[in-house]
Amino acid sequence: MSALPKTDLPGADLGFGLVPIEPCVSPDYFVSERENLFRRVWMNLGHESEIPEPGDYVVKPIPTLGVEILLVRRNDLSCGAYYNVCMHRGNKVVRDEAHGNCSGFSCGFHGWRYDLCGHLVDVPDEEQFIEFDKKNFGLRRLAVDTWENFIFVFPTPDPPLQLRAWLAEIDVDIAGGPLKGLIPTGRFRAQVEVNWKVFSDAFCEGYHVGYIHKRSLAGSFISESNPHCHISGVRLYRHHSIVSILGGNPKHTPSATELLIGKFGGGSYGSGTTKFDHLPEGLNPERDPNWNFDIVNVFPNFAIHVGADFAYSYNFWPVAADRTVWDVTIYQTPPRNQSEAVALNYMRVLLRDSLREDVNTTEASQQNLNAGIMQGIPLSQQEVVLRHRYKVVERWLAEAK
Amino acid sequence: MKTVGLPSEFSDLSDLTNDWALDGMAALNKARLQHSMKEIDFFYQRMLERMDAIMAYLQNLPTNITLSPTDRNLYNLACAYMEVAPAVELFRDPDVPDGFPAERFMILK
Repeated sequence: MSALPKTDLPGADLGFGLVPIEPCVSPDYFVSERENLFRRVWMNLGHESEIPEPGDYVVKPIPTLGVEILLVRRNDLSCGAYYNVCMHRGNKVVRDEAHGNCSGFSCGFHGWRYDLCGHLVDVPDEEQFIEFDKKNFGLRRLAVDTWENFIFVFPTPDPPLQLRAWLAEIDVDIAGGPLKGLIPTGRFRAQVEVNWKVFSDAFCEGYHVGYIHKRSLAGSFISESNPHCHISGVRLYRHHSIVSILGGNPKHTPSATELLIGKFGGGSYGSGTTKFDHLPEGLNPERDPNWNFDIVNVFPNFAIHVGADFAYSYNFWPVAADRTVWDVTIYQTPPRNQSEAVALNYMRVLLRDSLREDVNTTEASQQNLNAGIMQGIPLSQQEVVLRHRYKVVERWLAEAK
Repeated sequence: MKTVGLPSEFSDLSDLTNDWALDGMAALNKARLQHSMKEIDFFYQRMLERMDAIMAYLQNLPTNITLSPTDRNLYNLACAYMEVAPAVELFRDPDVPDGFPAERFMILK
């Protein structure tokens, strides 16, 4: 990358200066993000496999907005998304049980009953309500749509842009790839005292692998030919971005467990793969033989790491300038037998342990950013997607004013 | 002490089941953190000698059936091997050195 003239480098139009600290520490900036961005954007909230059958439902929080959303599989197999708020006196329609199957929802307070489409269908002792029409008090809807089995919602029923259009620039790269064949096999959550952008920055490049992951991943990721774990490419779109991460150190001596995985099937995480003929051209577009996965940053707060036969996703939910709720989901190929099921555990355990390495730097970074010691954040070309997201957020907030 | 059985060909591993034949990642990770490195090394070595045979046995069991209690224990024991493998092969520590605190990292599934 550095052999190119400066003006030809990816993201040259974003400039090369320091990234300002204020967006990472300012409570006012956070409030502006919450009101002007997170209330006005498509957000991933789940996976279709969580509600496969008619009547299936799951309650999902949006911590940033302080609300819970009821995701429902309706009888026509489409998804519904409603605020989990009874429109009588504001009780939660679904309490205690976060998922299940039903033909409709009854509020536990006064028995108001809603169908799977959110219509209010029964009000006990209805004649006591004067100047009242049930049809005006259905559950409050969100726009909902799916992409590659991921469920997205928009906080109001009428988004300015449909999900297909919002994701069009990455759909070209990703659709038809491995995502639809994978199932969720692991879920983690943590609340971390860090700004959501600083947090997601921790997962967007290979530069850190040789250091933070020196005990865990470096042996299989870092090679003599790629000692700094350079990315093989980056695509910066208007809102979203994709980075290609390499792995596959040919001199890595496999551990006893890696040999077992190779024999009984536990996925290709960390090992690099030459099996990418089945991938769409937009994944690993360089067709690098040491490719490990692409990081698909779906603006603003959802990232999917897509490999040949695995994926994992992060949802970053800002709840304050320096506090984020983080959800992680791992997706793997459905095992064909119980030994494959055992082998698939290894990737989940290794990923979990290496994530704990990643996250451990973030709170210290935040404290130091808050302390005002630094003038700004210098970023290398390996970290250009970080700069890209700061610029996209900045542009979005400026356009919202 | 409760008796937890294994398929007869793996009865030599029966002494490991009370501590390690646990259901799900959260329970297995807790067990890993509660054992010393010496205890984990002992478990890992005993299992490693038998993992090829265990995996070959489990390969014949499909995923769309409910496992018998003894097969389930063997499956959980094999998952426990995967749980401790990074501690033995990478970290030489039951926990993740310089890792975000385990008690703040929730394993939901």
